[in-house]
Amino acid sequence: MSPALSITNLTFGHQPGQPLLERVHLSLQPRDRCILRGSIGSGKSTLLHLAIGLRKPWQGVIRIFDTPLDSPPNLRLARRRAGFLFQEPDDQLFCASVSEDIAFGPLNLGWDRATVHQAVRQTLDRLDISHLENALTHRLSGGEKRLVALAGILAMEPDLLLLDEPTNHLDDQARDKVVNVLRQSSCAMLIATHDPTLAEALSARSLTLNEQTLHERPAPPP
Amino acid sequence: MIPAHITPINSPIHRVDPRVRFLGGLMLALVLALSSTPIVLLCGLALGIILCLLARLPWIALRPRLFTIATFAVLLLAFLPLEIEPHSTLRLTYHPERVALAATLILKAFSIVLVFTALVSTIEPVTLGHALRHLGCPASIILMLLFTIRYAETLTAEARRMQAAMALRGFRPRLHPRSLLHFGTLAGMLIARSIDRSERIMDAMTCRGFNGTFHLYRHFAFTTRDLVATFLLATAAILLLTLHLLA
Repeated sequence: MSPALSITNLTFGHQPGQPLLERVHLSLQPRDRCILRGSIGSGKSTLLHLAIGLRKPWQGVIRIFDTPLDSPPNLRLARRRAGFLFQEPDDQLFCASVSEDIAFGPLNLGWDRATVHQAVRQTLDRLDISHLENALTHRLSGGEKRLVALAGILAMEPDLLLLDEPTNHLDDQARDKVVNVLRQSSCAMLIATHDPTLAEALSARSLTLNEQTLHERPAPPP
Repeated sequence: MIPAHITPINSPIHRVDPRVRFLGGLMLALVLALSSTPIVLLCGLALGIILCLLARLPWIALRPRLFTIATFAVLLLAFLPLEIEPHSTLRLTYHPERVALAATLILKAFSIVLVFTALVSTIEPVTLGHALRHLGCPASIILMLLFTIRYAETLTAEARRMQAAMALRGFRPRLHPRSLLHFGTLAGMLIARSIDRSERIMDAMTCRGFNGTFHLYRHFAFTTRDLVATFLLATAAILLLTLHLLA
């Protein structure tokens, strides 16, 4: 089976001559869960941006389900199977109302209206936020914004989730809700986080980004 | 727009399709703007009041608009009849016949505002955007409208946060070059952050399959109620037009 995400020999930096990531290798199998840790500025978010093709690597190959992220048609194809959660929900919730925002991805995938409507309702139910269906996105609380942003990518039924700080600024209740949704999901996941308990909560393997490259940490006890 | 928290959402007007309300409001406003016949304008005013009552608009929602028009009316009544005599800089003459013209303009303004407030201002901005798109407005304009609705409050909050941070660090606005420089920096930072944000939003849109076409999720169903409303609004506009032509 082809890996959900494969990164081979990746090198990238924001400034010429100053690599932030150097010779990074990563392979994520379908249903694999992987937590990405590291200090602030170590390049966790950058790695996720590279993995979805928002940045072009200096060197190396990135593939999502065997599709290399090297051309616009391939990027479109790969992004049909991968959902990306941004660190700042306000950047991701660009539609005025919650239902519209969740429907945005499915509509772009070319689904018909009835299927999109059903996907919106099901995702809202799954995250237990049906009461927010007609709410305006800019009036939501921080936790609600995070859940709606997650709903927006889950509605597209991705096979790979790339999540940038999904539990940041959440209260305990909202955090538990996000963790439960992720635990029940069968998607492969790469999660950048500072949350020390997330790896254990998701029984995920832990990787640390340190000195420009990835280091495997021992798996948490089951 | 009238804030949602002070308007009901289940009045007979609110239940009508927003496209019908927008086109009806536009049609009536056009007839009232073109006519200067007092009877037409009085009928328009009566129609505006009836529509506001049907929309169950509370006084608090109408007050600021009517107050603005009333201020304009007072100024118009005070100054329109006056004229500076030719070849003289200080002598003013009073033309009583112009009071009628001022009254016509005031009637026009009040009737159009009442009709438009009842029919169009009661539509939620997001719904209005969708309705306009379904009526054939260019997608790029609607996209700009929807993004403005979405981000106006976020950017205002950002500006307020930055101002508060300045105030907490001892900044007091004065008419002083340093104060002006700080305000310039604030505006510059706001623009720079907005550009960064717009890039991140574009990234988020591309990640979710955006390829230049903004699909609309909300669609409207044209029911018998909307047909009746269309008929009533069109009849009202035709009656006003007939009155205008007969007078």
